[in-house]
Amino acid sequence: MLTESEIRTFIDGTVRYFAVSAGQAVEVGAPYLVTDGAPAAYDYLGVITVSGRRKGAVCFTAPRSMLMVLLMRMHETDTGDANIRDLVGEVANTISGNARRDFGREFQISAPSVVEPEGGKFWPPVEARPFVIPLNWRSHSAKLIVCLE
Amino acid sequence: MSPGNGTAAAERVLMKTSPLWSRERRGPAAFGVALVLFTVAVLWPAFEVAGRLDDTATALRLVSEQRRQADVVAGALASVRDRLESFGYVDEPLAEIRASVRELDGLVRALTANPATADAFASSPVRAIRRSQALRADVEELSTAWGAFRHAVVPIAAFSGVPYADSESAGVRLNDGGRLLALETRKAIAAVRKQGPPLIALLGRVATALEAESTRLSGYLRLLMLTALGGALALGVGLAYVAFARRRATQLLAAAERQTGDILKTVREGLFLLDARGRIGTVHSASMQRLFKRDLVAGLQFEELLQPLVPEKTLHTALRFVEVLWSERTKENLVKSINPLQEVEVSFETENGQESRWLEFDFHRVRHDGKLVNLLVAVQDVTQRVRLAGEIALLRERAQSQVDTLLGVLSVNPRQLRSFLSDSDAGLKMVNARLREPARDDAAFRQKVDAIFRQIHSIKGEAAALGLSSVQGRTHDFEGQLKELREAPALSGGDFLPLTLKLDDLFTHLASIGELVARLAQLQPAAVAATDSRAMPAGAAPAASVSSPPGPGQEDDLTGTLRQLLERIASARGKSARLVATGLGDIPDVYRRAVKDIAVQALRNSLVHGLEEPAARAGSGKPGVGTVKIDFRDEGDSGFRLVVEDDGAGLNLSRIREAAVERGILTADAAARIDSKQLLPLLFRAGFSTEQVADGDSGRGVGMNLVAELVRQLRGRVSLSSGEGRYTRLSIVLPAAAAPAALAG
Repeated sequence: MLTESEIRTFIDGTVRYFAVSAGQAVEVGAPYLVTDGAPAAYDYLGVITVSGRRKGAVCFTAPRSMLMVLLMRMHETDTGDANIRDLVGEVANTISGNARRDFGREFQISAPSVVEPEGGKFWPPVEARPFVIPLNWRSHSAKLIVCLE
Repeated sequence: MSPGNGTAAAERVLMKTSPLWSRERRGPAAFGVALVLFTVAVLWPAFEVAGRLDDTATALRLVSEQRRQADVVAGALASVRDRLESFGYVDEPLAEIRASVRELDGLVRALTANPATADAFASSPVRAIRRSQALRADVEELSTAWGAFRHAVVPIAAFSGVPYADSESAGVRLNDGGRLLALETRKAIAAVRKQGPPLIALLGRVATALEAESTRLSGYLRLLMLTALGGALALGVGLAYVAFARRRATQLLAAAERQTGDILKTVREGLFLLDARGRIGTVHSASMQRLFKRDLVAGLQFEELLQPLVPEKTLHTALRFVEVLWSERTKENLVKSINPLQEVEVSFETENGQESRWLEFDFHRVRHDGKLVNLLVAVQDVTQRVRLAGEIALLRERAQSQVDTLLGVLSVNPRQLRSFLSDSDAGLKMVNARLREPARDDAAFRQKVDAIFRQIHSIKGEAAALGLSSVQGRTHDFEGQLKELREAPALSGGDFLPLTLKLDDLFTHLASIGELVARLAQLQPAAVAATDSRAMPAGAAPAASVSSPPGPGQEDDLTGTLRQLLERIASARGKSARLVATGLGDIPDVYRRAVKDIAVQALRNSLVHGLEEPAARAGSGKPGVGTVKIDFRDEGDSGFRLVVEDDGAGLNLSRIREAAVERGILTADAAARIDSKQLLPLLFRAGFSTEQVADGDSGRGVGMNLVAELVRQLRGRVSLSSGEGRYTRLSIVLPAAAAPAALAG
């Protein structure tokens, strides 16, 4: 069973990215579970896979509109697909770095990959019940999905 | 090989080599000592005796050479006399006399040197004479005899010139000197005849004594030489033995080193020594390279070895622990239990990413002559053991949980259980839906908390009624978490994470009950056919067995559930109670779950707060067994009425006032002023309870709030009345036609 501190590590990584890079805090919503099927994803998915003491994946998903605004906040004028994908990768990378720092060697965490959501959903590599942590930033919504067993 | 065995083996090897080294060192030392003793005891006396023998021989040669001088003097004197008579040439005999006197003077001087002034460099004859008291006496006598002899001879020896006078007139005749010489010669001849023999005898005695001393010394020297020969032979044998022993020791040492090498090469544990400066020794087992994935370990600092493998905190604690081990005051066995490296997870960067392992470090003190000189460290890879232990613990926990659950499940009516699982699954999904509802301010989060509280309380109530303690315990903990949120000064989305985790656990637990029930169903195949799988929670299998709907005279499920709840709570609280239920088998489906929840909450309140203990009831003139009546009836167009009434003590209005003041809902003045009609609605407020401490059945102020919320959702009415010392009655009216939409929430 996942522990609170494990999930908080991933949340903190995300919050840190927004606080540092976007200069504007992200608001964390009440986490909930996905009890049937796969969690819905937004336009972009940044995924890190986890092995070791836990197995599964953690992903950050956000709509294109939010990511474009985020890029602009970062004084990035190129809001093309490649740049947006880089941005999603950076968020996932920050989450991954935070987890590496906190978990040390308990978890083996992969380098992030940015993928298209299949059928608008994130399909976790394991059968664990996914935790969804809503993220509200300005008027936009994103999600952090933690699916570890 | 176990770490203990490996360590012991290494210790044995080390212990075994020590005596070999000691013996090897002792051999040459003993040989050296023997050589010194041999030199001192045998060779030095032999040297001394040889010196004495030389002295004696020199003295003997001298004495023997001079023994004839007295006879020579006597002969020369006779020759002088004769030549003087015949006017012959006397210079030759006079020269012989002088020479003999000189020789004998030299001899006596040599033999009689003053012992007081004689030193180590004194002449050999003196040293020889001085060592023998008898000889010293003979020599003194000789000196005296020679003095007298010499006295008679010296005037003759002193003569110089020509003893004759030659003239034409008188011819050759003795001159004055010649006459005196002739006179002195006659006297000397007479004296020599008298003094000569004793002198010669004395010289002979001294010579004999010297010969005897020489013989004695020769014998002594031979003895010494024989002893020396024996000693030399013994030393030779000793030397051969030492050489042999040394060679043997070297062979044994080489064999021991070979064995140690084999052990260190083969042993699976990492074995190495740590010195006082924390440095790893030059000799270590080959498996160190495998365990630590590095080639160079010898000479490394222990800190350098650990630093890349463990978190800084663990490293710091480990180094402190090693320091403690070096303290003589520390009891080795006592501190073993606080060894931070007893089971430590280490991680290595590999080509395939990071690899985790568990290592066990065991420390042993190494002493030489009682002094702590090293720490022997044995390292073992215990990854498999740790993983296995973790899996076993998990399996044991699961097995225990399954047994507990199984026991609970077996005591529940299958239909009730099926209904519970279905309702709980729906309830948990409702909780999840509540969590998912967007909320960005504190008020919205608090509404979320209250709504979730009611859902969880409902599940807890039914679990308690069915005696499913594992579910009841989990929901109780869930409520504890909700209570904390309710009491928090401000709420945000992240605060709900513990709830989500508990929700996940509840989902998993209910699913495991479902699986358990499914397994039981396999044991009763006939029952499976009757199971309505649609009523089961997602992922769960059908219940173990299903009873037929209750026939005439049979008790309906809800009544059975309520009766179980009543019996359990009454028993737990030392009360006696009976349930009188009517109409519960006729509840329309649309109200079934709501009525069940309301009845459960109301019954719990009656048992916890309403009914008195038997003694108190007897004191009030009531029957010892209290009664709770639950009546559900269809009142036609007026709708449905549910009444829950107990014959207990009634509501304690003063306690309700106190609780309202304690919780800051009313001021003390306001509480004192308001009447019961205004006071009782407070009982339906979320979080309002007259109990100070919550337990599994009451105290969190959720039950009545749940009742009120359900009635509100069903667009019904609720009323509460009480008669002090007589009864408490909860009355609910539900509309004839329920609006399904209202039930969703």
